[in-house]
Amino acid sequence: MPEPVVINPITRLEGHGKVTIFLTDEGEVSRAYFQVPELRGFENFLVGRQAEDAPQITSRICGVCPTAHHTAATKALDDLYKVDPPMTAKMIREMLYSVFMLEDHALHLFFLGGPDFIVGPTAPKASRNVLGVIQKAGLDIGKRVIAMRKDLRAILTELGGKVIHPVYGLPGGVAKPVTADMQTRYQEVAGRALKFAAFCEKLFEDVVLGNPDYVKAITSDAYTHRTHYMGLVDAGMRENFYEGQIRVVDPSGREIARFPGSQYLEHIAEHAEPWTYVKFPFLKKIGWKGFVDGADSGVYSVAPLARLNACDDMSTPRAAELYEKYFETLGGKPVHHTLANHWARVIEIVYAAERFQQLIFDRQITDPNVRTLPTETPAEGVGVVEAPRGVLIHHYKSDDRGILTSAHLIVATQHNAARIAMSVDKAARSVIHGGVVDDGILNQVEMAFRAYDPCHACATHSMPGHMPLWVKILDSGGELVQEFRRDG
Amino acid sequence: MTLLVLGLGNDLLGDDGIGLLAAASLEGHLGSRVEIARSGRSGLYLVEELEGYDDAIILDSVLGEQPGRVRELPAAALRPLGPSAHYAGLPEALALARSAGLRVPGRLRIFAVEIGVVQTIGSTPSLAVRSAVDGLVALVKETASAWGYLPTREAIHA
Repeated sequence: MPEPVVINPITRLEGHGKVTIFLTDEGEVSRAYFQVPELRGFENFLVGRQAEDAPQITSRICGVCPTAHHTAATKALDDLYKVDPPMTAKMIREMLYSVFMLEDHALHLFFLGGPDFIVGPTAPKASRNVLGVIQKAGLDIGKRVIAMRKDLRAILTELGGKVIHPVYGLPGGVAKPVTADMQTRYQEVAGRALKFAAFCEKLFEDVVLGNPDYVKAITSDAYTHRTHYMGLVDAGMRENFYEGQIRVVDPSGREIARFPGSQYLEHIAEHAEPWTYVKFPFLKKIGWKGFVDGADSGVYSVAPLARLNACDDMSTPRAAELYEKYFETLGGKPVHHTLANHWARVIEIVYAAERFQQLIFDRQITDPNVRTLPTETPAEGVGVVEAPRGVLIHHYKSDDRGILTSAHLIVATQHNAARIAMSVDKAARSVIHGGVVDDGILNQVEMAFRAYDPCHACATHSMPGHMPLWVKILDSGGELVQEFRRDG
Repeated sequence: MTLLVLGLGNDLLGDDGIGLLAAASLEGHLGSRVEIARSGRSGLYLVEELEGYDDAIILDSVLGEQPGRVRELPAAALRPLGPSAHYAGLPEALALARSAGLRVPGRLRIFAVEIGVVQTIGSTPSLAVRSAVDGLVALVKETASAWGYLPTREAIHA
């Protein structure tokens, strides 16, 4: 097989992410895919360690969403020890989780997805960056986003223990209650969060809905895949970030499965391809039919778009209104347009802010009883949350002393791996012909996966195999035809 | 005037933790006008780490052919290209902070230690990579001194 094209940045200062494009003898795209994080090393590392350490260890998998791993691991410990945390502990966890989702979505919406979402998918390449976003949305925007994040991060630090690697989650509860003083201060932040959410919504109205070309661009076939969708829902089939059942809908929006996280292995299997060590999760009962769309294909996706497709409603008032409008504008449910993830994220920002407010204004949040001590002998536990990028599953087994004997993690980007590969492949095929590409390909292919907000975890540093430091395009004889060096 | 020395990396990922290790070894050695920080974050997420400092020195790792070799990465050369615009690069992070009217480092130097491709999770940095710490420490001290954060070279070693 000819050598692949690899697009790969080199330092954390530049960010992570890697796209590999295999060419045929004719220089056409044979298969393109996005490299997702490899977690086997972390799973192996957990074995032989105390279960209670898992929330701290797994929060180091990713510098971007430590709170998601910490929370999924903590929930897995609840299940491992068969302990039900007090209501207040669950409320605190969900509140902190809403704060985290809001913080992460805010950064993504404006500055990571912003080049596509705010500047617009059809804008010239030169303006599709952070500066372009600022130019389009106003000088004030950076200040607003950073100020909001600072407020939210202060809560994550105070209540979570450490902002990068939280330490508050314990089997059966949390380490720290919310005092009356904290409640008062957090209520003020919640007020600002609601205003911030309204600002995001308004910006969206002005910049996106005010531009008919935008809706046209996001609904274009190039960024559309009709797949299954998965997300957590509460008992009323409404979206929930922190707990509930996993629900799967087919490409027509019909529910085909709903199950507690502990049954995930009955519904999700992993497919291996000869050209990558990455495994592609698929819906077990439907089966792996290849990288194809449709109800007969086991390919599914997670993340904001999928979450909105998988639920029937939002549990907070403004988010529910926006939810209706979203489906109305995009031609009904489900929405299959990958770029609509950016819009879905706006709705989730509103939901996160409203949920944060609901919880911090609840009198029960200051109840000092935040821990139920585990008394059962540990054996096996599964914890599931909605990470910003989609369903996150932690599954542990332990001996009767609580020493882990196995660990299995599925991160959001892994669930999305097949669909991201399909998107990248579609984009690459449209721009690479005869083995020749210009650097415009970087942009095209990038946009195809950026809407998924794929995880470029620090764990990518640990991937086995080679990681070239530049983009190489080689013809079928292995001769270099073009290269983009990425030396610092 | 405050100088930030920021070590980047993941302490569970072998060689990748070298920036953190170097930063830790500087702890308490650079006086009151130099702050030492460590972070596992990247790209745009660094805005919040860099805010409020007059100058900064970043210690990181970079995949390379000769593990342990220290390279200076010119900040201007770290231009986002293609997929890395997703997690925008340091120049974008600084541009964002400036546009928001935040105080960001006026002077910035980035020292990166070359590391090997395969990292063992849970291990500390390899000997070859760890041997770079002394060199990094010297570079940080020289820079801090040249920028006026340390009185004299003699005083440092006193």
